[in-house]
Amino acid sequence: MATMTYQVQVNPSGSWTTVTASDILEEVSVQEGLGGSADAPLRFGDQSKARASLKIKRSALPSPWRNCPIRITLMRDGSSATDYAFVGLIRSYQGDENELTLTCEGFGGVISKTRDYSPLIIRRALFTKTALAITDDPTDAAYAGGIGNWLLWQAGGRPLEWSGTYTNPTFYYSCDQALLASPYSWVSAEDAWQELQELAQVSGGQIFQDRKGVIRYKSILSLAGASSVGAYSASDYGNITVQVSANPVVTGAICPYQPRLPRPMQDVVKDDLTRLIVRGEPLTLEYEPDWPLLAVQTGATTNQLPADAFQICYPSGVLATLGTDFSHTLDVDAQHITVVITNGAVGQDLHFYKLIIRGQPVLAGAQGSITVGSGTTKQTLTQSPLIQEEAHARRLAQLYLQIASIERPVYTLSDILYHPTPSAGDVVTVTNVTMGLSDTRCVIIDRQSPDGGLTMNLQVVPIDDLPGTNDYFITSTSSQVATKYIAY
Amino acid sequence: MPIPYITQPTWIDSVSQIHSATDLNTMVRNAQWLDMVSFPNIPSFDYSHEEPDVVYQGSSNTKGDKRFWWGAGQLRTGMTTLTVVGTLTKYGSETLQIFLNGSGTASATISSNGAFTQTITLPAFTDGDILTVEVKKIGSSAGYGIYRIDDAYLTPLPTLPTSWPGVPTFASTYNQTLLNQLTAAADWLLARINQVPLIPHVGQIEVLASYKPHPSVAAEPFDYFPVYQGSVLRLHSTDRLRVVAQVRNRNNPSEALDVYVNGSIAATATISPGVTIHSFPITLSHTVGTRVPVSIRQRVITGNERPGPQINTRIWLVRCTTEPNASGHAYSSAPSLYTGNVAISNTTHNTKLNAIASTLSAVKARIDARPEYWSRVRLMRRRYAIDEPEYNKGKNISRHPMCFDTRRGDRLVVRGKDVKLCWGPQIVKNNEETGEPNYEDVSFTHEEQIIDADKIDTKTVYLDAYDSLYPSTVYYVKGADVVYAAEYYV
Repeated sequence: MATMTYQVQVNPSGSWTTVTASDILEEVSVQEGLGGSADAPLRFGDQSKARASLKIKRSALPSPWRNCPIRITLMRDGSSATDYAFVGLIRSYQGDENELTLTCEGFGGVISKTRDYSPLIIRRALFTKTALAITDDPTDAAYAGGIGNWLLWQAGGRPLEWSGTYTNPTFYYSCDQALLASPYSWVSAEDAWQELQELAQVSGGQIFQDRKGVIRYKSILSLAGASSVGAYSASDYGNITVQVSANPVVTGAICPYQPRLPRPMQDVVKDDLTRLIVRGEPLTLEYEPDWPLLAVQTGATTNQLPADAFQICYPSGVLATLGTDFSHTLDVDAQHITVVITNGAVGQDLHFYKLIIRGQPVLAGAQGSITVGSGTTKQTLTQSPLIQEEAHARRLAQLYLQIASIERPVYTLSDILYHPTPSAGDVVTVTNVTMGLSDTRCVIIDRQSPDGGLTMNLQVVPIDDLPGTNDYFITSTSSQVATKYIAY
Repeated sequence: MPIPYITQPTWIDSVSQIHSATDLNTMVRNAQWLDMVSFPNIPSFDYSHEEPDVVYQGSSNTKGDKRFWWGAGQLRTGMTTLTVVGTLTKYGSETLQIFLNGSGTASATISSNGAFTQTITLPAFTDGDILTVEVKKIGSSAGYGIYRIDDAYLTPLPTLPTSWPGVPTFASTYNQTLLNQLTAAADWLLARINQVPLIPHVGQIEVLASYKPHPSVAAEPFDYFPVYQGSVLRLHSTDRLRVVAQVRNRNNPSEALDVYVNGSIAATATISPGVTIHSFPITLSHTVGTRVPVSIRQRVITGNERPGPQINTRIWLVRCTTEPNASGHAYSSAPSLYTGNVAISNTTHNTKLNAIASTLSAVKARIDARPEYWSRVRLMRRRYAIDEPEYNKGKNISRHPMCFDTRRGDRLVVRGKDVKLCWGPQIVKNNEETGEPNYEDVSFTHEEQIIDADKIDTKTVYLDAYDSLYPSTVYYVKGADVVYAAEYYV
């Protein structure tokens, strides 16, 4: 009989410590998934799941515990301690004087709290591939990351491929190159995790946390083209069930879009609220223009507004001079401007009367929509400001239709002997004569181990019909003498 | 909707970037569009309307200095020269003098008879300034001279930020270097084509023509009423001229509308009473790359003999622009579009990409071969008026807005005062006293103020910000003082 032990490590203060084995009580359960369901097994960008719960002795609760990083390994017959079954954060607990049940979740909660203003990114894939040869640091002059990468970095993540350099980030992330790019992409202090879900949705991909705590973005074609990590036949699982949606397959898809159009330099901020700029106390002004900005008009000095943007005076009414009587800093994001004015006048307060900032806004044009497919069962895709071109809308709709136009049952293979691999997002082959599955390639959309690692249940969806990345012509320095697909 | 040219995709090695029909067809369509616009439909260069190439002084032949052509152009960094092309046949000792930016001192004087090409070194300017040019007959003349302006343009064009990248050849390797070279070539051509602004006509809306046969007095030197004078550039051997005019004949049993090209009659139509529209496709046979005069004339064949007031015929000149002739331009053979989710061989992929490259290469060669159009920024002829009182008359403003007979681009640069953008059906109000239609007061369904009435200003407007001002729509720039207007693709 297999022996189950657990390794639980916590990191309350910047370094990992292992919880004493005897302090870990039973009732360890882990779950990770892409978020699909029978109604939409491969829906783009759905809410993914990464959860764990375990019971420990009260004395083993780390301090501080809230959002304390935790990683759990279900060690079966001495398997590797780094085959984590869950990496995430302690979110809550309940119990009595002796025992506590910890509820743990993935990093989505932390990412959700990130609300930053991004620069305007122009005509770039919404997620760009992470690699050792590609910088993902937005402060790097060579930065060419997508808006999704930017959000992940701002949330404290670092590319998994750079783990040698960044050894203790909040989390690691790893991204495929997204299939779709928007002409203009930006974020303005929204919930970063929701934003990432939307980005995955409009780029034909999935974003999820794997069992090792890595936030992964995968395009649907990358998911479909992955190599199989395991084969499951009737002897491997105790039971197999199937669930098919009551909804009919989709025969058409409607995708709305809204073009974005850059406009000439014009007034984008007009602030005429009179204020006092006290000696020694900088005045910080923050603005959110109505539209994202392609550029802001600066003066003779780079990264500074022109002098005639300001109307700042001495109490006597004499105009104060930029550079002599006051100075300022300018920080411009896509839809957020911060101006910090410092009074440099000797012995006097200054009066702020007006500030006009000129910029090039990117306006929203008239909305449109496209329809692909035919028939009566049409699905309207979610509207997003990131779908800005008819071509993008068409391609997204065709990708969606390719996936949703055939019936995709969700199979649950239960009572499988636990093994750290496979993980959600992995591809396996499944055989079941009765169900008509014969080495059928399937993607794992959910994995659970409810009994503390003795067994695991896999929810899988067939993807035999979907081509993978290798089936397409790609941009590469290698010669491609072959017949391959051109994607939508 | 902006112009059909869509931002090109960016190609990146080593990220498993899949080739999509969407991205590839963007390149195909952009190449097709560049191919199309490299055969531009060129409006004739406006010289005059009511005044023929003979300056008719009327009975008072001692009139002195007189403006007979004026225009404007936008100066860009790197430009050095204004060139004015025309013909002078003096009656006496008068000269032609060219004045810049309202100066009282002439920048050039033409005093010899014959065809002339006058070059003038530009004064110092700031990038984007509007240069105004006025050509005047200076000195009294007791009779009729011939003073034609056939062309006026600025050179050289500004230097583009990048040089022509050339086009790649695909042989089953599709890396970022080659693919991005292809997109860069298309982007370069767009920038190159966009260097040449699209200049409007002086519109002619319900302008007065004759109500009687000519010559009506012995002193008149011609047997027609002049409607339009200009010059037409034959840029390609497959160009022809299209003249479209609406004639409102409310008076005469029989009239004619004649089109002359290079001094010979090229088309004519008999005009019965009523409102008729005439569309003339006119073969051009002069040397490619050169201009010849074009004039449109009304003739009253049979006048109205009834007693009482006569009614002038009115003419609306809709178009005088080149177009492809019946055999069409020699467009490139663009590849067929890619189809998504379909497998193709590398050979097919090579063929399609190389066809895009060939198209772009042909566009480059075509532009290089015709500097008469592609290396000159042509001036816009300003509203017909021999002096300020004429210029400021309400009926003059109504008759002669600047006309873009086809919206092709997205950006409009305008300089003037009290200027409106006008499009849509025209509205003719009735005269309050007579109840008759007042053709001197024509307005449009859509009129948008783009420059206020308090000062002269230069503005840039984006045309797709205006509902229903779709590509290919005819639109007008109208106002008290329209100094300059030019459209750009981007």
